[in-house]
Amino acid sequence: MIGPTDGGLRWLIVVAVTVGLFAVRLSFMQLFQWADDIPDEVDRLLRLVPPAVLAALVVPDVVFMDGSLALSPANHRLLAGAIAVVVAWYTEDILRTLLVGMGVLWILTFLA
Amino acid sequence: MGSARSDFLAGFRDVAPALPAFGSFGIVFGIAAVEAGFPPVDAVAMSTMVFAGTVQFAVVELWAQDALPVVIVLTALVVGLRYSMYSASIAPYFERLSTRWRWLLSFFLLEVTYALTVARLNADEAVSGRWYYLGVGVPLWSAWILTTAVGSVYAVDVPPELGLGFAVPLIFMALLFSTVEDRWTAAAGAVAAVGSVGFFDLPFGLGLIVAALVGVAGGRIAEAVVGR
Repeated sequence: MIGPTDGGLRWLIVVAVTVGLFAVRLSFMQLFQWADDIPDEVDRLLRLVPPAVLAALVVPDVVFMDGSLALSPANHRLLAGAIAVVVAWYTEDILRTLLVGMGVLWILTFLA
Repeated sequence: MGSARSDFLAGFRDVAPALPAFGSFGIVFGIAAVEAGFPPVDAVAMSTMVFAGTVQFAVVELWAQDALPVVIVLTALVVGLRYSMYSASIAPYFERLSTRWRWLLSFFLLEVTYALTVARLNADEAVSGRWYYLGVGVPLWSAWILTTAVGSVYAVDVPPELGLGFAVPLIFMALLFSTVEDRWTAAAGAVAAVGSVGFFDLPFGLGLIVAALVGVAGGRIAEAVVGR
């Protein structure tokens, strides 16, 4: 997007997200003043949101390169991502996943 | 009964070990924001006001893809929906506080503030939950703002060959596996993963939100069909 209104638009987005996210964070802290429990169905759906959102954030960054699907060794992120997945699975630790994933990416980029 | 001050400091001590990882996340965000076209001032403003890593990354990533602004906001809120679960879990501990306090505390609600506070209050009833919670939340917030500033200001000096943008999916990867609790959450993640590839080319930046919603639907259907 190009144009003089870009800055204003960015701020509008940030303010809208700020207000919306504040409402999400406050939601049940306030609602429980009037109601006692989360409806079962809402609880079920909410538990499914984090894995769905995170998977949808991660996968394209690993399997796409310059806007198209790149399932070949030329895509260094693919191998680095595959090894990092194993670390993430076993440790669930951000720092270790980060170090191993970036380490493999750098080895592939600078030595290969 | 601890004083407000000692409870605040207890929170600070407990969160201190998490600050380096949190800070590196902030630096990565600052760099990613600038690369996506957010000037440092805007990046720092977002960290100050929104204070939620995954949500902020989603915003700058979609911004870089020229997504429709309304799609950016909606996607960010779907990404942030998980905070409502922390809100529900911590609500009983803050039930008796005034509305003003509850509003203040909810701003600092993160996975870390939630988890540490609940663990501490269950172990030690003498602690004042709100001051301990602020002792966790305020240092995290300060570190988040500061490291965003550092990352965004020095982003121009980071050589692109380092591929630092890859740190973002790596961080989310680690978070992802900690949110997979059972077959249904795993199914939601798997369906969303496939969907994110299939819906990648959707216009207006709709790919992420559609993939996430399809993932939730997939997990729920699997639970309904197989789980009974």
